[in-house]
Amino acid sequence: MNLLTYRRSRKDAWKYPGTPILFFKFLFKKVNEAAAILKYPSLPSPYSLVPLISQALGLGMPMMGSGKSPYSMISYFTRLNENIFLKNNSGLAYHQRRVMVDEIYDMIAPYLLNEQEEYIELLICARHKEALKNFSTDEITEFRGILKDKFKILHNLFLKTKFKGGHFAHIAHYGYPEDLYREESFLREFDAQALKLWRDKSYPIVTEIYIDNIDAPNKAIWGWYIFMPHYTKEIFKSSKLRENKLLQAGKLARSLGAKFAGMAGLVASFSKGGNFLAENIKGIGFTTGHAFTIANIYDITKSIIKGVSLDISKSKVAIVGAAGSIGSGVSKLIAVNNVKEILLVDMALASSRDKLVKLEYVLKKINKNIAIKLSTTVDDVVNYDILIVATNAITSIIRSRHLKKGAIIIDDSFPKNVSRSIIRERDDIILLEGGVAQFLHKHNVYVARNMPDLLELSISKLVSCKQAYGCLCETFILAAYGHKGNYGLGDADPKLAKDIWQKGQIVGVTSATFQNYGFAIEKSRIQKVKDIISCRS
Amino acid sequence: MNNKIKRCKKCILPNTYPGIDFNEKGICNYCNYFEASKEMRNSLKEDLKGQFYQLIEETKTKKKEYDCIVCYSGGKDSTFLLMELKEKFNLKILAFTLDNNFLSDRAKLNIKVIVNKLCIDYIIIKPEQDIICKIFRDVLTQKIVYPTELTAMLSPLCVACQGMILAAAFRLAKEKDISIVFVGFTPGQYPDVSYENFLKTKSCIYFSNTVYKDDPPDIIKMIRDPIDEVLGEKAGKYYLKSQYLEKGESYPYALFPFHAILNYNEEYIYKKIKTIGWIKPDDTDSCSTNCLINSLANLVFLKQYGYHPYIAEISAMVRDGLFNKEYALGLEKIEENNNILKRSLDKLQLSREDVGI
Repeated sequence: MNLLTYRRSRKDAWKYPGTPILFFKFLFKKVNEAAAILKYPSLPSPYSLVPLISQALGLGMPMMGSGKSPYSMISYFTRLNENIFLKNNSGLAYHQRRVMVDEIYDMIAPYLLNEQEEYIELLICARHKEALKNFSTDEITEFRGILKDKFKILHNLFLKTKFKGGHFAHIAHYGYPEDLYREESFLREFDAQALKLWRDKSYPIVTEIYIDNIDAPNKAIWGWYIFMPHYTKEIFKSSKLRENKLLQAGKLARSLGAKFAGMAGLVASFSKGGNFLAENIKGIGFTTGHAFTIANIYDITKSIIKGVSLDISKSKVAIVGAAGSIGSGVSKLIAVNNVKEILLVDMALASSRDKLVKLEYVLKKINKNIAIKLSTTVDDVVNYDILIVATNAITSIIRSRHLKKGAIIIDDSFPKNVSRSIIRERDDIILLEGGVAQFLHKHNVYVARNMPDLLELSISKLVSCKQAYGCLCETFILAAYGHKGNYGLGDADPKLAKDIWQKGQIVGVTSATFQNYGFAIEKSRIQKVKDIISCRS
Repeated sequence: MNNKIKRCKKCILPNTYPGIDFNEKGICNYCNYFEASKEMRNSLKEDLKGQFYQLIEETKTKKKEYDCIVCYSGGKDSTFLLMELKEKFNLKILAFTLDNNFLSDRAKLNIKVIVNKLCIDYIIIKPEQDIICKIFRDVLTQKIVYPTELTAMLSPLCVACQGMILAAAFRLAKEKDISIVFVGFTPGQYPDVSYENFLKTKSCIYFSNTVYKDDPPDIIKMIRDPIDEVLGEKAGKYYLKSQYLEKGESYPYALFPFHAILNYNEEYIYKKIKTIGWIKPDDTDSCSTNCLINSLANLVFLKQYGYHPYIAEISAMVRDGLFNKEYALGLEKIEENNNILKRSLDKLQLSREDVGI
């Protein structure tokens, strides 16, 4: 029976949510045929296959110029033929094809984690709860059987395709509810019970990435962005959720064959400097991304000091969030220079106070000539020339009143600790993004699926401007060097910062141009601050 | 062009083109893919055609002041488009031109003549010229660099210019409550992707407030990001932000009629538009009938990238049977020493050395 006759004979083909099983079988038969013609190409993971399956369905059509992309069918088209395309008579409307691709994609994480049964129950009890509400127990059992069969179909293909794994993973989370709801729009229709279940049991959202043309031991690297399917506040609220989802993401990274995993956003902080992940998941390394981040912030600081002709020996530097990994790491790098004074600020907590005292001791050992002050309030930064801000505060904490004329602020926090409105209110200060780094334009970046820019993972900006945040750069550089195992755990280490920065120079990753919120800093603003500083001295 | 360049025997794409690979018969992978996906593409086109007509009819029933905006450069394709939409579809049109500071005088004259003759309302938008010149300077000197996803289709200068034109057209349409923006892209410009975008969203340019795993690359963002990053918000404000819409944000439909409802026959187009007074400019190059900076952009691109920026479009037209190979090869010729080139450089305060030609 072909698809057309099936469609005619089975009017109830679409009775259950998701794609009817026969379409599923038909598609995978074709994919199997194509894979066989290509002698089961050596791809890193099941995620590599999905864009090719989409294209066979007439979705995600490859663009001109994509002939080198592993995710473009054009790359394989010296050997394939027209039979791999789903023709017009398939009976699948456009939106049904899209649903099918999404369905396949979503099955991969539970498949790799060997949690098919759990995923099926999650679909029945949360995702399709509403659609199944009038179904009998027998019908739900039948639906369960269909989902199991789909996994078997997936398994048969994946078994033949020997996935080779990749070099890295990078674990992130969503920033805001709207980001997550845009990716998983079906959540908008969930009731509270389904939403809770989904929140507790859902699976990571992944995209695969391939970068080539790199001057390093690995000329090309494969890896995965793994997004915990939660936004910042949600993860902040519940330690149980946090731990479960960190473990899930880490295990998925290992299943995919990553040699190590980097961390974006607040993952390093949530995982206690990566130690929670490293202690609980063996067979894969972890790194916080903080080593490159502090090296990058330090480099930006030096560049802007030079840019505005600031005399470093007369400068006072405030580090807000100094008890944290990045804050303490940057302090140590800055202390090597003969700055006039360093103010270490961290908010209120007793444990932070102890950390600041210890940090003061370390800084004194690095450079006894610097005056070091400690504070637990951000109000003390008002007279400082340079402010480096790296806290976990979830709102803006630096206000216009905290900034003197000609102040330079480097904000490496997520969410941002310095409100964007300050740039409009004050043309006599410079606010810089901390930690944005620049790859070489010759580095080709290919992604298996497009995702909107999220948190610190701005995917289109990586493709278009070849720019990324420091944490991601650390991951890329280590992958290019074939790193395996743990790298930077706990507080950022200045020695590792030096190491990763040097490696980055060889790969071609350096600080990006001065910018904030994605915009270049105007030359006129830099000149104005330069003039203020010059008048001051 | 270098004579040693190897070309696809079918479509003339050169071996310098990104991602090209040849089979033993000397046919490129782009041709092989095109041939194999032909049936699927044709069925897409058929769907597209039907829905195009439907959308146009729906718009007409709304009885607004204007049914559509047409991005009108004064060149041959958009002039023909304007004529057809007016005469065949009887649409209430607002023609719109973005003056990029490099419009040929003849093109300006053509615009005046044609909108008068067709009795079409017309708006010209002139962004701050120093910002346009700065953008053009920075793309020509590679301070602003675009990725292969874009440069495989056109020169960075055209990317920056087209991004600005589309953003201005969309904003104008929103301001005037117009639901369709027509663009005269040829069948070789953004084929496939535009069909697919239309079938997913009723717009040849993709906009969405939800995410699917098969979403196209965010071209809108990819055009803007490098400009923001180099020139800041002052230049960035002339561009749209992203294909992913924020809450409450919406844009009109963008339609490329040459991809569906209008046949593209260059000879016929020239013949037809002459009847209403359009005159071919003698100061533009072989790939443009309206823009003076095109020669410079093409020449600089050729030197920097090793292939002609129009070659993807031209080869697609050859594959589609709309151009023959000899004619297509002729379109690649760039005059290296003409006054137009010099005037463009002078206007941008650049020397030949600055742009490496």
